[in-house]
Amino acid sequence: MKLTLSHVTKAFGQKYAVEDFSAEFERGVYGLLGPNGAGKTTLMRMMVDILTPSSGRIRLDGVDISELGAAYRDKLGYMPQEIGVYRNFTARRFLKYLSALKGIPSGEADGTIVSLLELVGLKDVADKKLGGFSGGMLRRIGIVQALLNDPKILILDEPTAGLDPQERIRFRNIVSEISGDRIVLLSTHIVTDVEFIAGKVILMREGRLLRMDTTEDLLRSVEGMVWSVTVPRREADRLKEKYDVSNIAQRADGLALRIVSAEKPLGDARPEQPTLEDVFLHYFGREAV
Amino acid sequence: MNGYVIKTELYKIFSKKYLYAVAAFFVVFLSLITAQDLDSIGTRYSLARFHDVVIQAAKADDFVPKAKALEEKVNSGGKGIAAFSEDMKELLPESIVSYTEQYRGETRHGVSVADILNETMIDEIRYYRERLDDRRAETERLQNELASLESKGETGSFAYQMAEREYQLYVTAPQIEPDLSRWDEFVDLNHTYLSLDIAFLVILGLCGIYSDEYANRTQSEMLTSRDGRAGVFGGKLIAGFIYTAVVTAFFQLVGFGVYAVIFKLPGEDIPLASLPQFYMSPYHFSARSYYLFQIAGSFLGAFALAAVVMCLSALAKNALFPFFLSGGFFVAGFVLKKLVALGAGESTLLTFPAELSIFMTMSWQELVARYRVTDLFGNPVSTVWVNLCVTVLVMIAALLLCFRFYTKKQVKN
Repeated sequence: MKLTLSHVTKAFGQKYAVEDFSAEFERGVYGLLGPNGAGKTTLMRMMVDILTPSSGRIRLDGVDISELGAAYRDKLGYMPQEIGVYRNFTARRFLKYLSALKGIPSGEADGTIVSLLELVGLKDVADKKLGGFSGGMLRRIGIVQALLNDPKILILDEPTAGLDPQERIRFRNIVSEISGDRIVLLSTHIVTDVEFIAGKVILMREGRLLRMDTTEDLLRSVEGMVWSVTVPRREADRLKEKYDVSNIAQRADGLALRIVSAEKPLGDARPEQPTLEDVFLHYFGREAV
Repeated sequence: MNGYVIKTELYKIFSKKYLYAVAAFFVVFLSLITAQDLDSIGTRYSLARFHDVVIQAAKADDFVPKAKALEEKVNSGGKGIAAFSEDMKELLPESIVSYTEQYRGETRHGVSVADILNETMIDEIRYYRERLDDRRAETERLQNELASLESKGETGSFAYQMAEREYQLYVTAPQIEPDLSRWDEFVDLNHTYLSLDIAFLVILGLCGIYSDEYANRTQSEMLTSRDGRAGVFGGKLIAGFIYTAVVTAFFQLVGFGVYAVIFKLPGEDIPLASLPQFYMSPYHFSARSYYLFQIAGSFLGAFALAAVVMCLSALAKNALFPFFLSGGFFVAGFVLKKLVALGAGESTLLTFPAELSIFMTMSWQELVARYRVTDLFGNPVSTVWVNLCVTVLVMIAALLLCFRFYTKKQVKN
């Protein structure tokens, strides 16, 4: 199974939300990273066929997804950035309805709903009205609905936004568990979510594909560019002006800065092992902060 | 088609509590308005038994002049009808008088019920005779018009065909009868209250059928599901039509029930043209068949309106746009009907908006009360048929557009 994007462009009037984006997806977990307004959501909407590209094509195994229609959607699980629910429905009723829309037989859906609710820790509130759910609980409902039809292509737009650290860990584990023979694409602002589970990371800026690579290769690309240095406050201000600083920590002898820079920022700066946050900072500079 | 989808779509519509409040308000309003007639003369004293007597009395050529003269005396006397009890009794057949005299001792607003009933019966005989005369005069006018057109050699003209068909309808129509039934009240139900009540509930219930999915942000989940496009359209269509049918049936039953309680059952079936508001109708409906035709029109019109509302809802981001636009679309027909005087004759571009409106499909009165025809490639076709066809076409077009708008929906924000 191969999902191919060829020169995909989406323009709203004169503004390009996505421009000449080409990529290939085969089974595995892909993390989509980019600052706000990079075009991640627009790209995902085109990939789930609720937004038509202005130009370019999106194909699954060589066939345009708009031609595949219901056959494509049958393989698809999508969690939008903002989860829509009927507040007067119980979780079970809402999920049963979406199961029906996904063509899952009623008897089969009942079991699937229970096991997925258990997976996300919402089994006990299955018969509670969605109007009383917290933001984090609704995101988990969003994850469940995306998984109902056991999709081969799973597209998750900011799935961890609003989740507390414990829920984020649970979510990462779920994605890792289910990623087996699927294409999983998830966008997030939280770099660490991607770092742990994504096999490949896509960096996107101003609608364009900046880089698509394995996490290891991306980390390798900034090797020797990450430094730590402890300096007095006044010196720290000067360094912050001049370099991209990925972290600042208070120390007894001043401020400890983590700097991403091709050149050594100070004579006593120590080289550090890069993380994906450093990669993010390297590619997006101050937009990322 | 998935049954659970239909069931859920029905739940979404029927779980709106304000629909029940509005329906209850309309029922109470209709009941209170109608209850005002509970104590009226026509409701309390049934005169239906004098059906044949009125027919016989109206045959006398001098009845109408005598009745008019008496009316003038009453109007100029300044003493009311009580002063002319004997004159009225003299004018009426014996059987009527012997019935009404039993109420001589009863009074209403200081006037003997017997006098009120006598005046009512004089008017009934007089107006029945006048209606007969007007129809006869119209038939003669048409006959003369046809002769005139024949003499000019215009037998192939549209005017000739139109007059000829109207003439044929008049001469083959059943003889009109006195209106001593309550059919006039029952056939007025759809013309006044019910069509507006049904339309309001249909619009209110369905204006958010698609736009609420946008407002709830559920449409992304739906549109990316296997059956979330054609399947949802089908589910919403069936649920929307079931809701529309329930609303229409409910108001038709309530309307009939309230009227049956207040006015009693409408009585023996009579030709529709016997009712005062239809006395120049050339059509051969009976009052009962016309009432049933109105109910059928009420369902058809409600379905067409439902299709328009759903179509607009599929375009909209909130329910207000379809609510006001479809409301305006429906009310325009109602208002234009009032503005455009629809006598007999050819329908024109000026009268089409009123005559081909969904409101007209749900009431029919202006189209059936007179002979209205449309020039269809030189052939005169009753505008009733044109309205029916246009309503069906509007419904089909609205549903096709709704399918297109929803299934090709772009989610931009």
